[in-house]
This record gives sequence, structure tokens and C-alpha cells, in this order.
Amino acid sequence: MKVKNIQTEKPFVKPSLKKRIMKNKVYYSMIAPFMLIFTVFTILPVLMSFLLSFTSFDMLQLPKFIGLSNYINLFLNDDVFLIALKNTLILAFITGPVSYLMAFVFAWLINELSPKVRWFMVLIFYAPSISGSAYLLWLLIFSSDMYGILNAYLIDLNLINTPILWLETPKYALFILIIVQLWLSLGVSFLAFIAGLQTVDKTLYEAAAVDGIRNRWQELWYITLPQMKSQLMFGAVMQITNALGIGMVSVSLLGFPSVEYSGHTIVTHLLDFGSANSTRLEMGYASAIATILFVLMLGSNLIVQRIIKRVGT
Amino acid sequence: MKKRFVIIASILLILVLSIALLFGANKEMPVVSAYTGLDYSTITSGINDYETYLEKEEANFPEKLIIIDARNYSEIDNVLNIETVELQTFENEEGLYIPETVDVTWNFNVEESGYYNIKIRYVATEGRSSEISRGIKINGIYPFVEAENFVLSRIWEDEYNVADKRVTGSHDIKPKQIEKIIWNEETVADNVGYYSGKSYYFYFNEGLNEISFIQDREPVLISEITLFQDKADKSYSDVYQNYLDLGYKNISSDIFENGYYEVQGENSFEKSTAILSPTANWSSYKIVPYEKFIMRYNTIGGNIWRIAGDWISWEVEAPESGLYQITFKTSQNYKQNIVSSRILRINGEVPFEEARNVSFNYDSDWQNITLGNEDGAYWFYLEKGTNEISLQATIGIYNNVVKKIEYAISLLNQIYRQVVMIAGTNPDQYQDYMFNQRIPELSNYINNSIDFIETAKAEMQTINKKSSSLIATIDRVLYQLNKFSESEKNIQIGLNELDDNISALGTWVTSISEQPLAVDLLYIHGEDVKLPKATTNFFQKIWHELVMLFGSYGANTSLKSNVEVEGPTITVWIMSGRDQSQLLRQIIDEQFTLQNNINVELKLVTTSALLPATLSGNGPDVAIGVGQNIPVNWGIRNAVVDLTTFPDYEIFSQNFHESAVVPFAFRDSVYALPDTHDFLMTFVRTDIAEELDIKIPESWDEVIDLVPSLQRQYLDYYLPNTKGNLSTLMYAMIAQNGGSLYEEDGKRTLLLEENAMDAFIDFTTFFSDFGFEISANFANRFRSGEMPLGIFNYSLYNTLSVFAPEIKGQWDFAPLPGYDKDGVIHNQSTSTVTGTVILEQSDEKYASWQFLKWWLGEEAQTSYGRGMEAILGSAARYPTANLDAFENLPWSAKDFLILSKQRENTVGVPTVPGDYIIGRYIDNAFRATINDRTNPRDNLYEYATKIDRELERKREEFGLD
Repeated sequence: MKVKNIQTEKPFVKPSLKKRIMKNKVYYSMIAPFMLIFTVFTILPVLMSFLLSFTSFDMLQLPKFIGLSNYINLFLNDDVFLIALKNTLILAFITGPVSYLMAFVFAWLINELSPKVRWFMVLIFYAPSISGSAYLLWLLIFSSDMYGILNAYLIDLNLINTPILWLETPKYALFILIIVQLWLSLGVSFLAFIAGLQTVDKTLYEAAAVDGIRNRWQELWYITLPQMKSQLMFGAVMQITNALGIGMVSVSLLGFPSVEYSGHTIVTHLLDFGSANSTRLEMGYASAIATILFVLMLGSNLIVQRIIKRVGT
Repeated sequence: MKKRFVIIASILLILVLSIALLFGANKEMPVVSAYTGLDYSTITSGINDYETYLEKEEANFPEKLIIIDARNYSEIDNVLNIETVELQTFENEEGLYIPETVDVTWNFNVEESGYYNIKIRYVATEGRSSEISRGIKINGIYPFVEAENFVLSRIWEDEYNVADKRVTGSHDIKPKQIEKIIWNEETVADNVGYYSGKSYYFYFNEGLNEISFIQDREPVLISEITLFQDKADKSYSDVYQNYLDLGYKNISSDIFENGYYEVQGENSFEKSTAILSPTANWSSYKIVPYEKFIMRYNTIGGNIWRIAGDWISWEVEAPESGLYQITFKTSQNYKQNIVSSRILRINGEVPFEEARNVSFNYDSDWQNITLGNEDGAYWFYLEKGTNEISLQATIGIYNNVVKKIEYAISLLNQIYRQVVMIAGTNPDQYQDYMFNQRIPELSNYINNSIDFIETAKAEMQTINKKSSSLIATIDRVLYQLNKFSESEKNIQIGLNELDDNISALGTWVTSISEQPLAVDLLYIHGEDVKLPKATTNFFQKIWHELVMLFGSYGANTSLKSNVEVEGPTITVWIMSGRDQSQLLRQIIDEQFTLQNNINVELKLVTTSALLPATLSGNGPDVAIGVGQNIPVNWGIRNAVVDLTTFPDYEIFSQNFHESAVVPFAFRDSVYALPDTHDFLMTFVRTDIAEELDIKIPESWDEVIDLVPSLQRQYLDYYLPNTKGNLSTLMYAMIAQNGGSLYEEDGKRTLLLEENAMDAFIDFTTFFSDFGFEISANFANRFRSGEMPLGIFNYSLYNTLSVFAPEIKGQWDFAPLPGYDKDGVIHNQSTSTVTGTVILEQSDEKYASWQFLKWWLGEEAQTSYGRGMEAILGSAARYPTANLDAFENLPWSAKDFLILSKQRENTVGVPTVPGDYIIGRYIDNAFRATINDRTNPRDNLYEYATKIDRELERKREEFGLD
């Protein structure tokens, strides 16, 4: 009875979807091309990969449904996956936050400089990110040959006698990967932060000074950061996706597979099973790995969003 | 006042002190032993060249003719004992057939001692169609360096004139190159152009002499060897005067209908190599004939006609006897600031001295070059009727430069090596190695090479005023050498740079001795003739380029077939380069399509495209050049055809060595057949081995014995190892020791068996205990001599032949070391192969099988291998898997023997489901041992169980028991 009453009291009926589309057709038509492409090239593949993760599929024959056994194998039988997971998490936990913080600190410092110097510094920080596979130059630095740059210097300084196999020794592998990844990943969030810092309304600082802000830290926490929340968010998302998605860097630097899987990450594990060049040809299993990775990224993004919401409070 | 005085005094004091110090330091500079001019005798890698040889004996040139009947040889040396000499008759003339592995000696009497030329009457019998080459010894020794190698050319011709089969609007068909086997006479001459291509003189004493031909390459049939005096060259003015005296007349252009007689360059009469087939050129629309976007074979030569010694001849019809002018329409836009040189011959003879060096200057456009000098065009005497005009590539004006730089390189190499043996490759900057005392000839070496290089530089500058960019390399080397001679300290500082400089110099000299030239037309004419214009102006050029650019979007001429038949059509994918695919296209058109009534659509793709294409059903029928472990992995998933289902598989597979098929076989099925087959060989720097008196090790024990003495001199032995994959050498060692990777069908790994385990441990010990380098660029260090021995796939030959021209002839193949078991060496080597597969989704399986049989057969593989070499030079030696085709490739007899002997002793790595894991885990075990110094046995145990688990998992996936 009560329900009925409410309905009669509120005569407003939500117009049908069709009507709504007709009403806002201009906007819908504007977003349609993007949505189409997004659906075909992003949503659909994600869904398909999710479905394939319940099958055994070798790309040459039809997929066979095998239930959850891919996931069971992944967590219970595949010790290499556990190495990959461990490596990925180490990489993500170190490079993610560190490079995020570093990017912000650098951005904050550089923002104080004069425009010309700032422009120059921005270029320097952003260069690694735009220069594609420039990280390959680290191969020269860490080359295991005695003519590798680092080895040559160390030998020259008489610190070592025989060349160190930087990229073939498990204990150095992850460390090198972290350095290269840090160098690489500063760029994007750094640029976003610089942009964010520029948009902060200068008058707010004056107002805050009047209201009793005592030092730069308070200014940063209460004014600057809340003002650039969206940039912080963007930077964080990029950083997490980058950090969890480390793969190509590992392949190019440490080789594939890396010695004793020392630089194996979830992405390289995925490539191992599912890429067109792999002889394993286990697409279903690779899809299961991809799904796990997807869940991992989604989860950490949610956590980060929570954290960023707290900024300035 | 006092203060000022003190200041002045102290300034003076400092000045005096510093001057004293400066001069004092100068006096302390190490004394470089006095330089006493060029001293060839100290140069051990002998500069005993032809020039010095000519001065050795009294200059007597007897006008006598001595004819030696080749059949009456006195001695043969047949060490390899494969084939022996025999009498053979060709075209009613009997001669002595000399296989490429036999040395032959003739004895004969000379009445008057003196210098003679040597002429050989021979037939280039069928061989591997590379040039015939021999060494020549007089009375048991090589008289001079150049005599170690002389060339008798083969003669090639086009099957037909391209123009005869030309159809308007459709592509030309390239004529096959056919070898002309005839009796031919050739004088032993400088083929490269060091001495303007002149015939060599050999000195014979009065009385009994002997002459020997030393084996090198290709068999030959010889009937006569003649000692005679070649006609000496006269200068043009003398020759012309002689013509006038004889009453020859300058021809007037009026006797020709349009003022000249022309021959198309591509319509050649004969040539020295099959490489020089007609070429299509679109660079200017003034080329005759020319059609946009249509393949017109309208020129000859170009970049492929760059090797000194290669010649092309044309036939011209002279309407009457008399003196003519000759014009070539040519293009030399291949090498900037370099003059391409040619030797001109008319009816086989160089008409006058100047014709030994006909220059074609660099120009971006086509040019009409009328042969002549500053005073005007030369007149050449042509007999009425058919005359033969030929051009031979020669180093020409660069001969001295090239010679000098080559000497310098051999000296610098010695300097480098001797220094490395004392100080290693990374000498300490501050240590005093006392190079000058320990290498007594050092300063001589340095000064001599400076001399050589400076002479070469001066000569370059006189040849070309604009040569500054060309001599940059030379300048760099000179600068460094001058620093070396200043102080020996600089040697240890600049050692690495010296190594780079030597290689740069090597590349430079190869590049400068290349003489590219393209010929479109050849004219003979009288004076003041108006020839069709060859050049285009700026706007014409722009327009032409624009048309070609935009037209190129529409017309794809590259891989389209020129022939079409009624029969079925198959699609073939080749995973290789552009040159390779174009050549394959050409061979298919020539040899396959018409003969088998099957059309072939050829596509060039990347390897990673095959899987997605097959998945979506757009895959090819046949794929060429797929990787070693793809066929079985796809085969057990029913994606490629099991070739044993074809009835004639058994017979056809006999064409390959067993080990090359092993990677493609699983259980009773074979999913591919090999196109290339590569395997490990030992590479040896013979010069260094000789110098250090190293015996090439045949067993691993000998290798281990050798290593300390190498390492004492900062040299190394290279053993290959691959990261993340099964090391081919380790597999070879396992096989040598009698072990294997898997139980039958790959059910379980047998790595833990004693034999395999021992081999693994031995391999690991090399690196962990004996200090072999794990990571090194072998090609680089082999070139510089730091690693005078090493093991690598034999196809490294290709890399070395382009990348390290300066060590050409100074290295050799040797068999792989092996395990010595009761005196028998087991030295199996590992095969690396690529294969050709037929895909299961093909609708034309039978036609595909026909194609596969043709492509992997002897004829196609030979044509392909030779063709690749024709286009890209010996850098593209094709490691064919077909045994008969391998025999047809131009390997030297010695290399061929060593390679085929090692091939008989190769093993293939079997492919089984899950095999990727074995290489990975063995490598992990290997690395763990090296990195953590742990027990190799424990590591292998640990990983073997992991391998078994993965193999089992994979077998479950396929439902194998």
C-alpha cells in the first residue's frame, strides 16, 4: 500500500532509454565513435579473455571448456607463477610508490624554478618516457662483457677483476629492473603533477596565509594537494598500471626467460604461455594469468583511490 | 719596492724552473730507435710482392716460345685423395683434367734464362660455377705473393637477348645465365688491378725448370701451358701514328644511318660471372628501354659490377674497317667521389696503354662517356664485321693506395697482436711494459706503417682534390700512429682504439677497391656525332621522381609472377629478407611454375604473422623458413601436414642429413623438411696459431691443456652458451659423451644418466674452473685476435667475410673438439635448422608437396644459394640443408671437405611436447652453478625433476600415455 502511495505521490516516470537517447542524441552521437572503438578493442577482448580463461585453447584447435582448472593449476601447481607474482609485487611496491613520490617531489621543486629552466628540466624528466625503447641503452651499461660500460669502469677503477654478469646473475636482476623502471616511469606522472601544480589558484595561498597557514608543509597538504586531486589520481593510476605491467623491460634487459626466472613478472609469465612466438601455445592458461593481473590492478586502483580521497583531511 | 722585487724574482724563478722542467722532460722521453727507412725484411708476413720480384733478377725477356703439353706432367700431389687427374677429351682435344684437390707439377727445359709470361689453354669444366683459382709455384716456391692465387675465368652468357622476348605492357623475363664451356686461353695476369691488369712475368733459369699448379678451387681441364712474351703496351700516340702509317682512316659518322651504331648494355655477349645478368633500372627515364612500373631489364652492371676482375663484353658490327670512337652511356652514382676504373679490350687485346685505365667519374645522373683524353676522343681500330669490346673492372688508379694500405693493415695487426700478448687487451695506463725492448721491431713497424699510410694519403689527394671525406679514416689512423711513435706509453692508452682503427682501415680499403658501374648503351661512331642525350635537367628529374613516388602506391611489381598457368594456385610465405624473396620469385618463375603447372603466390611476412594468420584461416599453403621447434608443436596440434603421408617422402628425405630432420620428427611423423642446416665448427686464426705454435685441439682435454698458455698471453678460447635456451655446445657434448636428452618420445628426461650428467659437469667446469668467458662478442674478438680460437655455427663465415675483410685468408674451419674415448675422438656437432612446412588448412596439399619437393631439391637450392651470393656477395653464403646443393655452392675444396666431414657427425635436437622447458632449466642449472658456485650435480637433480613434471603436464594435455 505504502509503495503504491509513494508512486502516486511521485508522478514522475523515468523516461525509457530510447526516449532518453533521442532527447540527448547529440551527446550520444558524439560519444558513439569512442564507445564503439572502446567496446570492440577493449571491453570485448577483456570479456573474451575472461571466458577463455576457463578453457584450454592452443590457437590452432577449438577451445575446450575445462572449468576452473587453469586457476587451480596457476595457484597450486605453478611455482614459476608464484615467483612471477612475488617479483611483480616487489617491483610494484617499490617502483610504484617511490617513483610516485619522487615524481611529485621533483615536480614540486621544479615548479618553483623560472619558466625556462623548468621547461628544460621537464624535458629531461620526461625524455625517458617518450623515447620508446631508449631503455635499451641500459643494456650497454649493464652488459656482462668486460666492455660493458659499468664493468669497464669498475675494472678501470680496480674494484673488480673479472666482469660481473649483471644481467645473468639473479641477485642483481631485480635491482637493475627497479632502477630502470624508476628511470622510465618518472615521466608521465611527473608531467601530470607539473600541470596540476600550475593550475592551483594562486589566490588560495594568500587566503590561506591570512587564515593562518604556518609553513610550506601545511600549504602543501591543505591547499596544493587537494587542489590537484585529479592529477594525483591520474598519476597513481598510471603508476600502478605501469608497475604491475612491467614485462617488456624485463624481456629486453634480462632476456626471456631471465636466468632462474629472476626477472620473471606476471606479464612475462603471460607472454611465455600466450604470445604468438611462444611454443607453449596455452592461450587459456595465459588468459587466466591475464585475468588475475586484471583483478590485481583493479584492486590496487581501488585502494589507491581510497587513499587519495583522504588527502588534505 | 721590495715587494715588487720579490714578485718579479719569484716569477722569473718559476719561469726558469718550468723551462728547465719542460726541456728536462723532453730529454727523458723514451728514445725511439733510429728509423732507417723502409725495411721489408723485418716484416714477417711477407711483402714479397711482384714489384720487388721483377727487380730481383736481371731484366732479360727472351723472345722464345716454350710449349708444355699438360698431359705430360711429372708429378702430382694428391693428399686428400678424393679424385685424381685423368686425361679427358673435349671437342676433339685431349687435356689433363685437374680436380680442385690435386697439385700438379710439370718439368721442362728452358734454353735462355729470363722473364716469361705464362698462357694456359683450358676448359672450365663444370664445377660449382665459381671462378677457377690456383696457386702457381716455380721450382717449388711461390715467386711472389700474388702468385699464390691466380684466376682462370669461366665464361657466361644470357640464354637469350632480353629484348627478343619483350612484350609491351608486361614484365620482362630475366634470361637464365648459361655457362659457355669452350676451349679458352688466358694469360696468368694481375686480375685485381694492382699492376694495371698486366700479365705476370715469371723468371726461369736456363736448364730444367718445374712449374706447379697448387690446388685451390674448382676443377679445370688444361691442354697446354705456354711460356711466351706478351705484347708490350704502347702509348696511344704511338699506336695512332702506327694506324695512320698503315693507312687506316677515321670513320665519318655518315656511314651509319643515324650517325652511330648502338648496342644495348644488357645485350652482352659474354661475361665473367653469372652475377652480371641484365638489371632493371628506373633511375632515369632516359634509360633505353624504359617503361614506368614495368620490369624492364634495361641495363647491365651497377653495384653488382664492383668486384675487380669481373668483365663484360659486347659485340659490335663495324660496317667497314677503320678507326672509330667509342662512347658508353653509363652511371656511376653508387660511390661518391670515387672514380670507377675499367680496362678496355678490343677483341681480347688492350689496344694501348691508356686503355688499361678508363675512368668513369661519380655523377648522380647518366652520362655519355666518350673514351679519350684532354686532347680529344681516342680512335680505335675495328675490323669490318663483328668485333668484341669488353670492359673489366679494376682497382685502376687506386692500385697503389690499396696496396699500401693493405701492407699497413698487416703491420698494424702485428703490432696489435704483439702488444696484446704482452699487456693484454686492457693494459694498465701507468705500468711500464717496455714494449720497445720486448718487441725489437716495434718502432720499425710503426714507422713503416706510417710511411705506407702517408704515401697512400698523398696519392688519394692527388687523385681527388675533394677527397677529404674519404681520407678521414686514414687521418685518424695516422694521428694515432704518430702518437705511438712519440711515446710507447701511448700504445697502451690507445690500444682499443687501434683495434677499431685497423678494422676501419680494412673496411675502407674494401670499399675503395670496389668499382661499381652501370652501362645502358654502347655506341661506336665517327667524329662530331650527335648522340641521344643521357642527362635530365632538374625539372625532369623532379617530375620523374614524383611520378615514381606516387605510382609506387599503386603498382607493386616486386613479388608478382611474370608467368601464369592453368593449374592450381598455392600461397607461399617466406620469412626472410626482401632480396631473398625476390630471388625466390625469380627462380620459381624460371624453374617451377611452367614445369609443374602450378601457380605460386609468394609473400614476404614476419615469423610472428604465421600463427594469427593460421588461427583466422588466412594462412598460406606452404611456409618457408620456420623455426626449429614450430613444426612438431604445430604438428601434434594438427596444424601442419605430416609429410610421411606422401608416398615418395622416404626417397625425398634422403636429400638431407638425418640430424637435420630430427627436430621436425615426433613419433613416426615428420612435420617439415629442412631448408637450412647449420652446425657448430671450430674457428681458428691460422696466423696466430702459427705464431704461437698452437696445435688445434681435437679433444676437450687438449682444449683444457691449451687454455693456460693462451690465457698467459691474454688470449681466450670461445665457447658458446645461450641464455635461457639449450646451449648447442652443451648438447653436442652430451651427444659426444653418449648421453641423450629424453627417453623415447620425450616421456622423461635422461639428463640424470651418467653420460649426460658428466657432459653437463664438464661444460660447466669450463666456465666455473677454467675461466672461459661466459659473455663475449666472438666475431669481434676473433677479428681482433683476442680469441684466436672459438666454436660457433659455421654460418659465421658470412659475417666474417663482410665484417672482417682484413683477416681474409687468415682463418680456417676446424672440426669440433670431442671426447677422446680409447683413442677415438667422438666429436658430434649440433645441428640448427629451419624448415619448410605445409599447413593443414591448405586445399592444395598435393601441389604444395610438389612445391616443397622442388624448393628443397638440388636444382632450386643451388640456384637460390648461388643467386643469393650473386646479389649480396659471399656474405650471403646460404647454409642449405640439401646435401647435393651444398656440394654445388662455391666453397673451397678444403672448407667443403671439413664441413661435410663434420656434417656427417652432427646430431639434431629432438622436439617433444614441452621441450622448451629443458633448455630453460638446464640453463638455470648451469647459471646457478656459475653464479653461486654450487654443486652442478645437485642443481641438475633439482631441475631434472622440474623438467619431468612439465613434460608430464604437456603429455597429459595431448593425451599421450
